[in-house]
Amino acid sequence: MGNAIAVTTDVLEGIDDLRDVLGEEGLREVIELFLSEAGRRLETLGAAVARRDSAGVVNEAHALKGSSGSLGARQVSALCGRLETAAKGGCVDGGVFDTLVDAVDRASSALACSARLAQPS
Amino acid sequence: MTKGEPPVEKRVTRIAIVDDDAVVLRLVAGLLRAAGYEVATYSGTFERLNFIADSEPDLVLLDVNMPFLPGHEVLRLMKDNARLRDIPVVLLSANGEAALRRLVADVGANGYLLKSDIGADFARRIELLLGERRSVADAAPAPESLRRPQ
Repeated sequence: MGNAIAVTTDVLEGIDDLRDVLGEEGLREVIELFLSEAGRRLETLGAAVARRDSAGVVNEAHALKGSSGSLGARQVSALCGRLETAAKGGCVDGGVFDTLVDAVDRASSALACSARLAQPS
Repeated sequence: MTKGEPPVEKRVTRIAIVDDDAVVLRLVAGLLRAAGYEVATYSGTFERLNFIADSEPDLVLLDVNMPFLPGHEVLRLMKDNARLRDIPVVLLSANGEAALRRLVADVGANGYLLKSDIGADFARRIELLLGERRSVADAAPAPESLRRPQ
């Protein structure tokens, strides 16, 4: 339970403030776009991890780090940063990627809730 | 303006955002539009320079890590373009802050903002950045949240 609270707090950091500025519809559009992009990027990132493609991991992890960080998904952003840094040193860390997959899943669910969207499958 | 009045600083009203990340583009554009700015967004870089110039922005927000052409190369091309060279540029990045600070100094950008700092107060951060740029002689202490090269 404690972990769930921590995750929710992490994901929702700043989201209500964004809603105040962007409005309900504006926030929903951004979150829908993030959910779509994050899924695509995670798939590409997973493929790069599987073939030990350091450059591919750096590019995709960096991109996901930026978009997740901009929406306050701190855990996702931090894990992407770890993957990116390791890959820059030539190390592709499959363990971190597995943790990232879970973190993206939790972040996506919380973001979908905050935008009153159907839960991502 | 009547004779003897000080010149009025032109307010930034048009901002161009260049970033290959669709989420960041949509989010930042929404935040700035909500604050009353006119915003043009560009997901491409090199081939779009003339389009950027056509929108006559008062400020360009430029992503650093783009796959086709890095932001610092875009900035170099802007400096070679008579229509763009005098427009202030703020770098936008998910890179580490120390590296970004060095990059701003190296390429002659006007400041930087971290993507992790994008939030409801983003427009205010831009205003602070521009306000400080206008009044260097003022010597007022910069707010802690302000990102600029040291």
